[in-house]
Amino acid sequence: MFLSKIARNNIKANKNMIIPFFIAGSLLTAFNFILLNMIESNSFKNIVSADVVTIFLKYSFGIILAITVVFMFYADNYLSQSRNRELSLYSMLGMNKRQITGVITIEEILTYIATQVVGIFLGIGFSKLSSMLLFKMMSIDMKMNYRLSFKAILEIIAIFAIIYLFIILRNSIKIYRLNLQEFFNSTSKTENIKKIPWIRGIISFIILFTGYILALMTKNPQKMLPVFLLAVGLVIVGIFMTFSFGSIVVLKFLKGRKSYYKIKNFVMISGLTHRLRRSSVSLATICLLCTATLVTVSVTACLFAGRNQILEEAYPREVMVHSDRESKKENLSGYVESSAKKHDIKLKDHARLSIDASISAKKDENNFKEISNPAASDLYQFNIINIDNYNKDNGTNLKLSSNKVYYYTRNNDEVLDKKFKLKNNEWTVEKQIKDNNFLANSQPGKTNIYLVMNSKEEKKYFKDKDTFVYDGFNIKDTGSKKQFQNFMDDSASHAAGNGFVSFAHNEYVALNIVMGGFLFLGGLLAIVFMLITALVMYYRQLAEGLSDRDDYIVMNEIGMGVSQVKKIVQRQVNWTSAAPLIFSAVNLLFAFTLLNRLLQYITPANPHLFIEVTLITLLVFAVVYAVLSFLTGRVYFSLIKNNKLNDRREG
Amino acid sequence: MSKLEIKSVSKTYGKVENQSSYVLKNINFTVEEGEYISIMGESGSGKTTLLNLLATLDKPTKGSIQLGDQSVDQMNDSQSADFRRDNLGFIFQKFNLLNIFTCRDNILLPIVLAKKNVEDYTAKLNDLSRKLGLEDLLEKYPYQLSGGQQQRVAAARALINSPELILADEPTGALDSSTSEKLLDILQDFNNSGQTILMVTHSAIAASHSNRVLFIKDGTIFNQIYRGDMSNEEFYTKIVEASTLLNE
Repeated sequence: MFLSKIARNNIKANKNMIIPFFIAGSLLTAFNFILLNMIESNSFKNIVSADVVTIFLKYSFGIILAITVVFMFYADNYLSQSRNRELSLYSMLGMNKRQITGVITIEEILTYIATQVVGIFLGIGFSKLSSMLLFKMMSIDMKMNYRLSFKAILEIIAIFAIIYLFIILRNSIKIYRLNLQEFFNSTSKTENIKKIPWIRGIISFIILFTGYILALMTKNPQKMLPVFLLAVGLVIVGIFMTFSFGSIVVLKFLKGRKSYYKIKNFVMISGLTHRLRRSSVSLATICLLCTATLVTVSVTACLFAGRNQILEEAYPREVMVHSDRESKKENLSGYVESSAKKHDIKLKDHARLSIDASISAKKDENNFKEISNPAASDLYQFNIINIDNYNKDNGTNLKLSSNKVYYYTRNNDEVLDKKFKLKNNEWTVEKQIKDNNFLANSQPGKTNIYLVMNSKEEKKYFKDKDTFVYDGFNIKDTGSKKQFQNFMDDSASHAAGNGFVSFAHNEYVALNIVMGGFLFLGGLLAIVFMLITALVMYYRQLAEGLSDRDDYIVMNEIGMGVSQVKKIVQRQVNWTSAAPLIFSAVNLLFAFTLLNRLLQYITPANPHLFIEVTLITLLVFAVVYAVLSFLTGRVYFSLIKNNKLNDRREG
Repeated sequence: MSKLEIKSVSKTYGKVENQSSYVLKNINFTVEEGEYISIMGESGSGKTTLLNLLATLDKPTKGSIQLGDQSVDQMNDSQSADFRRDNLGFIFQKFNLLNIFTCRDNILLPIVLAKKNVEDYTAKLNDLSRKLGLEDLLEKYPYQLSGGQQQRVAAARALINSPELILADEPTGALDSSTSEKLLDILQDFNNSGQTILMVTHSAIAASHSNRVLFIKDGTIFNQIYRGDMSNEEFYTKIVEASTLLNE
């Protein structure tokens, strides 16, 4: 059909622009398919702790799908602007609007078919690999519980069909609405220049800084998540406004200085102003996508890196038994021991810790004030131990006079001064117990202190409020997998009602599943973000190259040497490429302080670890970004090099 | 300005000995200081190529071009760039101004490139702006201006450095007749004050403002006429007659 021939011709003519769009469309199709396939094939249905991963999987799919939709519309919008050039020519030669719509529809359908075929093909090819990678990161030994879901294939094709349908619809409406006069002139409409946006520029800085300060100042864990979201919102708006207005204001200020009229500054500052006016949205988008990548990867990497420490903090022994002391009916710890014997499991390193009371307090100088809100920040958790019980548990014969205490904390930090006040009584520290075998676990986010005092005082001030016993065992010999599983099931089921028995092993498996799953999905999201970033970079360089080309010809003609122009151009390109990276690093810095606090509540891992992991993430990212900038920069340079004299001198 | 001497200049593209690929054949003429010269010819006559050679944007295949004591055809790329910057002013038909600069900065660009002190030229800038009617446009960007306004800004840029030679390529090509007339009057004024101008055009009206017209046909100078004491209108008539001869 005649129209389809024109459509195919158009595609060939606009290869430069359509090919990246096609690549992105195919890759996004593939990514969406891989995730949807994982969801539909329900690979985790038999794994208990994988629930949270499945939830995260669905959220990730939602995010990637949303990004896909936004990107498809953005890219198509960009393509249709350049399409207008050809179409105005056709309409001049006599094509009516219905036929023009037909051409575009055919172009879109061809692109749709191409991206789906290639995308699904890629997706199927990589989905098994992705699943294997995911299982490996979760330390799941799946005897290839991988399934290809045909439902997923159909769903993806349908989803993209709907996307393309809307795109076609939107384009058709645009064409019918345009009058031909605009059609001809819709090629390069220069933007309406406004006055220098002083007010908006200043506001942009204010909004941005407010977002940053909010991120820095929130300490209350309950408020943290909503405040974080608010800070994110402010930073997003702030970044867009800063790139659009704030930067112009800064450059205008630089223009006013005397040094402006030196060649380097002259071209640089005016050139940057011009570039920012055109590309501020692209640059801000790149910045935010990079920030999203950095935050996603560093958070999931920190969690993954710190997962073993969660284990260590919670499990001073491999088997932990928690029983209520009052219930003398069942000695849970004894049951666990006999169950172990029954199943041929050898236990060792038995330790016991009796707790008589437990209170939360906030520190005010040296006075600890009891508070009842367990979710406040900077809490101190005092676990009170009657010295008689302590001696019984440890086979010691210690004595404490009145108002004297022993205390213990994990990490042996010196958190108490020689004298302190608690429950309105002044206590003196006799000694800090530094015993690494102390059977204490710690709750992340709080400072846990174990206080030993004589029984008279314990009863007087703390009244035996919460009495329970911890028993802990290590495992000398696990026996066969089946035996170990039976032992765990038996102990756990017997505990019901009398306390609980928990196993480090289970926690270990669960942590690997959850953290491994998070890391995988974080990585996948990062790849999608960077794919979009690369494309936005590419299209930006394309647009700028085409519009700047003429300027460079003129510059050469009025007497700027080629090498001089090259140097200046390179500097400009470097600055505009670096700006989003710099801002996203700053965003990461502020986000990190907030995220670090959040992370501390999940895993009590060493904050140095988080800083290391985040820095490594930033470095790797900077390298990837530099490579992408370089590659897309080549488009720009190849476009402006095309300044053959004959191009613009006719006759 | 010292003389501009074009001696036996030829330009070919492709294989040298093939007669049909000569764009310019053995061009000879001189331009004295203070002259206002038009070069006329149809499309494809070689006039734009000649302009490119004079502008040091291209090199002749044979012959020499001398401005005063500088051999323009012997220069390498960076020497040419410096030469253009220091000696020439350009007014083109299109792509004249840089979109990244305000009109003021566009006009000052040659000063900045020559590393001179911008403050020394403020007076001249204001004077030129007044003469060219640009005072309200200085802080705007080229794409906010009409074609005629842009050409006037380009003229100011060409003139600010008081160059040895102004090269103009169809400066009125994209303008309507009244704006053309204004621009040509301005150029004539500056020439009366001593500015040397060389203009390439195929508009007889434009050429009638100059005081010497060279006619180019098929790469050679076919004819040359001088204004002498004639008025613009009289000169115009003479030019039209000569053009008609060109086409017979």
